[in-house]
Amino acid sequence: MVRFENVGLRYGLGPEILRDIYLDLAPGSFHFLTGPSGAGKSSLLSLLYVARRPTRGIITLLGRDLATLRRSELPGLRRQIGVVFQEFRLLPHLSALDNVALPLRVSGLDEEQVKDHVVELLTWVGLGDHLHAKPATLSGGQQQRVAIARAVITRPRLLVADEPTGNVDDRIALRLMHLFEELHRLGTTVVVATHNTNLIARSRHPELRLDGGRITRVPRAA
Amino acid sequence: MASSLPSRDLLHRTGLTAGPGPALRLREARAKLRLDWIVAAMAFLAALAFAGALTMSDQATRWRASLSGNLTVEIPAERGASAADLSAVLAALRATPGVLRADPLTRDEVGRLLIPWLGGGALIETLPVPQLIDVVLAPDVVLDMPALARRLAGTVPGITIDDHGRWVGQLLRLATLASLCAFVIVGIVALSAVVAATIATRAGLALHHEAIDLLHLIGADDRYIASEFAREALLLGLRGSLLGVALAIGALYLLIALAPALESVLIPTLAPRPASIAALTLVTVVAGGLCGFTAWATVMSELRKQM
Repeated sequence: MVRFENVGLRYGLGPEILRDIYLDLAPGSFHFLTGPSGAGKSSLLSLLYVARRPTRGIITLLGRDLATLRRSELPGLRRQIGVVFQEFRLLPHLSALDNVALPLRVSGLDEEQVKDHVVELLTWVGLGDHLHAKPATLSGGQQQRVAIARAVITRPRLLVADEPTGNVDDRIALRLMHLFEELHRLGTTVVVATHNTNLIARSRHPELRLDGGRITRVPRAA
Repeated sequence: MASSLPSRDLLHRTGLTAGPGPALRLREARAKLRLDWIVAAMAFLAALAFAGALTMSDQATRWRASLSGNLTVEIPAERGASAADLSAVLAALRATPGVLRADPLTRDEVGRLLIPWLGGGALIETLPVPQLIDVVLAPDVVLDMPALARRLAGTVPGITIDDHGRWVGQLLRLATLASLCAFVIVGIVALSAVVAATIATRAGLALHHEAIDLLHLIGADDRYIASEFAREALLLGLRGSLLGVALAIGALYLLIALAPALESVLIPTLAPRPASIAALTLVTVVAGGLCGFTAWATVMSELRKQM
């Protein structure tokens, strides 16, 4: 599913942010990614959701070697990956509904199906009364739930979440984790970067720890 | 995820039966660059150039049609054509196969022809004027002009025949040149519109780069993003070109209204015709299409440089 071999990443001529990363995530596995601020968690996640290519090493995602992947094949790969960004990255001029509908629309799904799925999911995450609200009128927690709904609306094969519970209370955090667990049970491979030790403690899933640009603790098998 | 789907009633209550909105808010870039106003100015010029070319072409055709099949025979003024000379020339002309009519112009008629150059005063009365004979040929007849000229010269020495060929030829060359200039202008205008649309699209790409990155990350391909830009540019182009063409039509009608007052034979007759309407419609559609296609091609080209 996800395989990193001797992966390194640097920005421009700067120092390596990630060094000698070896990673092998089985299909349908669930991992937490932890580490201090600046350890490279977001950079590692950006490699997972194919926002950039590594400076060195080999990355195999969903059976495709990124080094040999043509540019025209990227959209097809990315449609199988759901992403929850730390800063949400909602489009400010679109309603909650239209933001969540975007991944379905770019995939060319029939508009009636789009509406059905989006309303269902937004209602599930507690935003059924805010379907037409613009992001600016939503609280941080509500925006986060919209971002999560957008990430999972396509039932991706790989879900990458960067601090997905950072702006919500424990009750909502647990509810969102249930959503991730549900996807995991349906076969989605999940990687969640978090500082929330309570969430990790409550879960049986393995933890990957990044420190100084290296994975310092190899996960146990899921 | 929820186990049950929302009812159709819920969809209607929430207004979800409407179509999707654009993923990119391109009106922000539009407000900064006013592509529609630029296209309006371009379409105005192109429409005027097109109308000018068509009018010149029409006028040349009319000139050619009205002058072909006609000859003018001139007995020089200094010779002072006698009635006998005139009769001999008329008889020779009327005996020529292919000549339908040969009518001498009266002194008054010749005088009227000279008014644009000499004015209508007593001067014409005192000047010696040539005797002109208007000759009408049968349709599709080609006369042996040198033979006719020799025959007439034998009747009255110094007589000349003008088949208007030189004048018509010059007019046709002028009309062709004017048409060519008009097409060059249209080409330059189209090129300028392409440059404007390219600049506007690049500005839009720069302004929306974060949203475009996001669309890429959630699986949008370049075509999806390019189609958003192309749709917006097409609408702007059509709106601008409609405005420009409407202004050009207004300007043409103003010229039509002013043409009689200008009393100039060099201003061709202007009138709305199917060809003009088709040309102006073409300007509108092509301007819109050009903007849309330019936006599409620019976005595809720029995005190809990204990862």
